[in-house]
Amino acid sequence: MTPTGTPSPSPLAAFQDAFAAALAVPEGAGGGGLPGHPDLAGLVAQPGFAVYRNTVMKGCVDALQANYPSIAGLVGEAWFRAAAVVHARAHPPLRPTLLDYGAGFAEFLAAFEPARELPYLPDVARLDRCWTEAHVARDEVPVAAAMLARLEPADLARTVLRPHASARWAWFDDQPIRSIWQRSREVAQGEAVAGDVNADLRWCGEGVLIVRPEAAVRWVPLQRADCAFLDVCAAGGTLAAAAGAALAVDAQADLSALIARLLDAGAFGQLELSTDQFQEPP
Amino acid sequence: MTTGLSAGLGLKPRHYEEAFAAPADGLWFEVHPENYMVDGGPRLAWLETIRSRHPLSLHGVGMSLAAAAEPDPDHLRRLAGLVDRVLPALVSEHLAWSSWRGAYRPDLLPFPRTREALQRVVDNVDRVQRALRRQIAIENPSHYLRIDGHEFDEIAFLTELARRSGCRLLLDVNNVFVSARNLGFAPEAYIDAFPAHLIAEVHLAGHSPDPALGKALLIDSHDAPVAPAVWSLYERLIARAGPRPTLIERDDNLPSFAALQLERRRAVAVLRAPGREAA
Amino acid sequence: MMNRNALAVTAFALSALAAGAAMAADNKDKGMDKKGVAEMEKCYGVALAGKNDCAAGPGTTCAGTSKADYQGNAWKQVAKGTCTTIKTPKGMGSLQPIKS
Repeated sequence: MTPTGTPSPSPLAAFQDAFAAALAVPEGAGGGGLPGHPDLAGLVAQPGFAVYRNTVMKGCVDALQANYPSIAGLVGEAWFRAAAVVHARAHPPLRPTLLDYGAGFAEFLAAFEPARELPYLPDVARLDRCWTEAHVARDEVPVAAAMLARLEPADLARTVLRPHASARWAWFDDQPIRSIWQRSREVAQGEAVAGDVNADLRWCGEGVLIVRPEAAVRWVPLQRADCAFLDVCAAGGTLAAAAGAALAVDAQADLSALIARLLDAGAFGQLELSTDQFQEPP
Repeated sequence: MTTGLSAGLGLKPRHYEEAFAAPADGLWFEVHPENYMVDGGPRLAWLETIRSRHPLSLHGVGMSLAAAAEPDPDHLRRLAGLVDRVLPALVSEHLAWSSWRGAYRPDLLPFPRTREALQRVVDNVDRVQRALRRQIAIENPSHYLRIDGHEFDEIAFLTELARRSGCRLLLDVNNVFVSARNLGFAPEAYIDAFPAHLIAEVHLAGHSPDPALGKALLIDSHDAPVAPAVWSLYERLIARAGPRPTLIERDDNLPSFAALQLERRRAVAVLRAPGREAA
Repeated sequence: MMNRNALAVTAFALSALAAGAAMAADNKDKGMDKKGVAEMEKCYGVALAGKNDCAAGPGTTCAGTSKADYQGNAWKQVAKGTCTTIKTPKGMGSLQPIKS
């Protein structure tokens, strides 16, 4: 639609405005009121118009399903594709790179009334999105543990470990999101047999790191302190600050196991020494 | 122009390993650049690995050249980056629109071929060719609608586009067949009238009848082998125009790589038939 | 997100990090993180098998379709997803039909 006050669109622009509007109207929703272009009713009336309408919608739905396989597995294909249609009408792709499509699907699900009784769906969708982001992220050689192991204690305190370009992590306070996501994702990828996702589910908070140190995306369970540690690293804080943040959320955190877990996973992409003088705590 | 390309195949992730290992006997692969516009990761690594043994063609679906707007500069920049990275033998796009006023519709949408539209497409192809610093080829899409208000037929439009922008053309023989059935014209006449000297590439693909309307509406579904009637049109074209790089497109109901190679060899045989001069 | 509390970081914390780094370096020497190579092969193998792992993703194709296989009103029963086996503290959640 052209906003009022701007020059009227060219004939080609008017055609595209009207055609785009007609594509967005569901089949059988009534033909009247197609705006802008007198010829368009004659196009919409032809059987071939449905080919365009369906191809556009199928493209959106297929892309969303490919990007959110864990959600599709949890809710079943029929429900997923029906939800994806509602999503596509409200949030069409913005760019031709459909790998990017559906970045806001978690927020959509959070507000989607028919999914209200499945409170874990939005966070599971967030992890599918993290997987995609890790899959296509810039390649980077992970920081080797040996590099860190060689540092003097004083240097260690002012070391800054930048998270790997592909690293995404999250802590979920109330729900075992990682377990639900991992089970559904592995089934979708053919790595596990479908079964009772509830079998080994303890209803408690969980964290996860999703990272692609080489070719394959992998995921590692994280504790709350690990996530706090990574948050500080991402903000450019020193290891001293990161260790402090980890102990602040969990005074019992095992820092040796924490750093070993993160280094083993390939969670870091850069090692720098901060020029800020390390401050002895008061 | 001699590219040294014989018949090629659309590249699908399921076939990456076989594609890499296949004999480099004039074989080449085509991908949609939109699926490789990423910062890193295994897709891009595979594309570069395959590129190390076989020529590549980038066949865009998202530049929206026929929209009454300039191409998205970000999309164009990413395409240019991919072109610089894999140095494709061929780059092509469609005579269609898909992005409009900030939203992308995953299809190749039609428009009235007016003088205004021609000027738009000429300008947009010019922008793309300048950004890529190379010629591109423009493909005839499949048609499903009779649209009023055309001021050019498709061949005249494409020929004028090539003359004014310096681009070349990609002739999709299956699209000609599908459009001819859907709109009611003779596909042979279209094939015979198409300007041979502008053809940089030829596409072959399978189609299917509409599930509801049957053969009254053919769909360019890329989910079946190339149809016998399309092979006939292809032989007719190559007999007149000489060999041209030819792609077998397959996107759905994907068969084995060996089955695609078999289909490809049929195209190679047409290209090598006696009396054919190199383009 | 970030906790900027200038919490006391003891020498103990730093030595724990050093020990952890040494442990991870040791793991690497022993080949305990061979996942790198193994996962790459698996990832590539999965692509070959046509699973939607490292490669498939959403297909941007220029093929057409006339099939309206996405109509929400075709949805009749509670969908057969694995969510039907997940018991939350509030009980078994269920999906509602979608009117599109």
